[in-house]
Amino acid sequence: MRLEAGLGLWGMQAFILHPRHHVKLYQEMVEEARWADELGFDALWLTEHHVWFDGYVPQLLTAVGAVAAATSRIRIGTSCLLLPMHDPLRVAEAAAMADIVSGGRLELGVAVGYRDLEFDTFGIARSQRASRMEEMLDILHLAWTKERFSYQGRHFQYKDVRLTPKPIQRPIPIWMGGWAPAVVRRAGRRRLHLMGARPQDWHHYEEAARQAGHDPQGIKMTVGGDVWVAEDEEEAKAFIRPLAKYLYYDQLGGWGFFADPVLGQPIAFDRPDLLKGIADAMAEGAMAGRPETVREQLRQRLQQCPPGVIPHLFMRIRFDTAPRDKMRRCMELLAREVISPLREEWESRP
Amino acid sequence: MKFGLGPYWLGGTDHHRRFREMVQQALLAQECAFDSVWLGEAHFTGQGCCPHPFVPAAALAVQADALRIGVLCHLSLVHPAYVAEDAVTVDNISNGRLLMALALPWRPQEAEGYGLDPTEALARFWEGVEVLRHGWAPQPFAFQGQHYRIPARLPANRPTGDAISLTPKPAQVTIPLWVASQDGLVVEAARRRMPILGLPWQGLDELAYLFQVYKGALGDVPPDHIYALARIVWVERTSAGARRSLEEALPGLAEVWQEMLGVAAKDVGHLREAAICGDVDECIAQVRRYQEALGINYLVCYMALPGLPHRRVLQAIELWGKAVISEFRMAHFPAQIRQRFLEDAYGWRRELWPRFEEVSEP
Repeated sequence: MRLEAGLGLWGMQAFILHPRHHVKLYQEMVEEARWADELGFDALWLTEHHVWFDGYVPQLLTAVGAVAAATSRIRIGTSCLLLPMHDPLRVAEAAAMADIVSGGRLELGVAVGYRDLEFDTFGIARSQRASRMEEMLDILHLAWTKERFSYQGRHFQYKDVRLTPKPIQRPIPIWMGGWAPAVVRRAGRRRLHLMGARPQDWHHYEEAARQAGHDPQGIKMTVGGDVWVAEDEEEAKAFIRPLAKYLYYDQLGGWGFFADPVLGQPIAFDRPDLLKGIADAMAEGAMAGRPETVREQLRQRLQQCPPGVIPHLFMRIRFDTAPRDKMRRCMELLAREVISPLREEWESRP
Repeated sequence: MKFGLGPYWLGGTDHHRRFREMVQQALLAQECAFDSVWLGEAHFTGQGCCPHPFVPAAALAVQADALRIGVLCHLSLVHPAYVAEDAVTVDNISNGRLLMALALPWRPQEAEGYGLDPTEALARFWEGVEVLRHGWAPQPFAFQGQHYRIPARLPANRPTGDAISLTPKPAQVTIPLWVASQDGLVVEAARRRMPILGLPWQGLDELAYLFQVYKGALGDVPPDHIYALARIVWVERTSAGARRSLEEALPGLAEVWQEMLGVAAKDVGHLREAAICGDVDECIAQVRRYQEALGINYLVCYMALPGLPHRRVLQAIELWGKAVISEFRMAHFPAQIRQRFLEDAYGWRRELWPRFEEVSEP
């Protein structure tokens, strides 16, 4: 079986480290998508947020249309579409159109989202995110597979709706983003692929899948992290560290992304020591260096992948700040000197 | 006079192929002096008409680098902040080439399908326009309407401040907003100085009434104010050929639009009356008739007629672009130049469309 290699994460952020016009950022996305398509990567993943100062992509499926037009082979994913903040029918329709425009290349990653401001913008209570997620996953399935459907939920009610056109893929693959036990179990109950879950979370999936009567074998799971490859080991490390620290301290700190493991309280700028500790640890986990270094780091992560699970290498290389020539070089080295040999190894396993 | 192509609703059996053909037709239109290509929205149709025009619009924006990308979309079915975000995404992808025309749902079943009361659509529509404008403005905003409140400041959510800013902002200074010439919208559109777009299935009598009402409420506007109209358009080198082609297409088109609009009135006879069709001279005369009757200065040409093969649509687009649009690009265009062109004085056979057709096969 082919070892899948996906690249992330295109968020089109005018980072404070290198702010520039969004027209430029989207042009880069289109150009990099063409590179990724030519270099033989399997997927390119886009990421969503709303009302954030750097202009993060707010509507992923529309941006997927642009990537689809620039590419012919690569699969195009959302990592993740924050489903409970949206309208389920609109997402079902937009995803169907993205699948049609791309010729059946959509991978739909969904996650619950966490920023109160984003929920509040759309008039949605954050506390309803899990129940909305459950209902919306039901509705997406019904909308894409049934000629007509009705639905009676707590949040959504539909009567005899005929969603058209249907997507090309039956079904569009859905990935569940996150690693909280409840999230992994939700994915297991529905036999969805896992985006961002860790090997130690897998038993939640297995249990939930078996309880729901599914075979957990053959599920895809992302394996990877932040990646930067260059000819020079130290240059690669020096490049990625400040970017990863910015991402984990400033951006995720600004959003209160991390939660206190005991109390579940968000860790934001009001707890700088705790935030710094987490951010530094996350940044240290970045895989950076010469091709052989990164290859070895990815190999180790692949080995941790639970048996029976299909790994999807998920390499975050897009930081919205890299000079074009360095970005291109990183993608080439990754394709030829990291993924290609790793794939050969993987595919020739006994 | 400016010219657009569309709106494309992309209904049919092989939707991916319809999309690919649309891109090829748009690229030819770009080579033939059209100003814009339009995508339309419709929900729950048996033909699978496009329910989310921003996705193909973003794709088209990448393929075509000069055309303006028009989106004729609904407002009132979903929270307008989603629409505002979809629009800025396309506007940035296209380097500021988005045009938008806003419409009420074509039929009550669209609102009902979304679980909404169709009688609320009008109020939601104009609140939606406010939200779009606020959302695209450079400064943060708060909005309080009957149907939408932004930020909602729900007690369940952590307090988030009094104002928000949707991001990113449009690449253009702001996105042009037109309004579909639906009864019930035109007076308020005039009051807000928003251009209207006459719909391709509306007959001349209906349009004359709506444009009169609109202009009556409009007051003084600058000379570059847009008056837009969408028409079924078909041109061939001979009048008889053009009419035969139109007759081939009209039953299929009537069927699609009757279902999309939920009314039986758009029959073949009505659509025949509402179409601009003929040889080049006849088409020019018919465009002039609309110019005189309604004062339009932007014509959106619906040319991808159902049942007519892609190749013939490409031929019609090219002939329209070369022979008809030229006539309206300037005052006092010498008729002799058009005549010599039609007589093949410059090498009529050097058509552009074959190189677009080559790549149209999915």
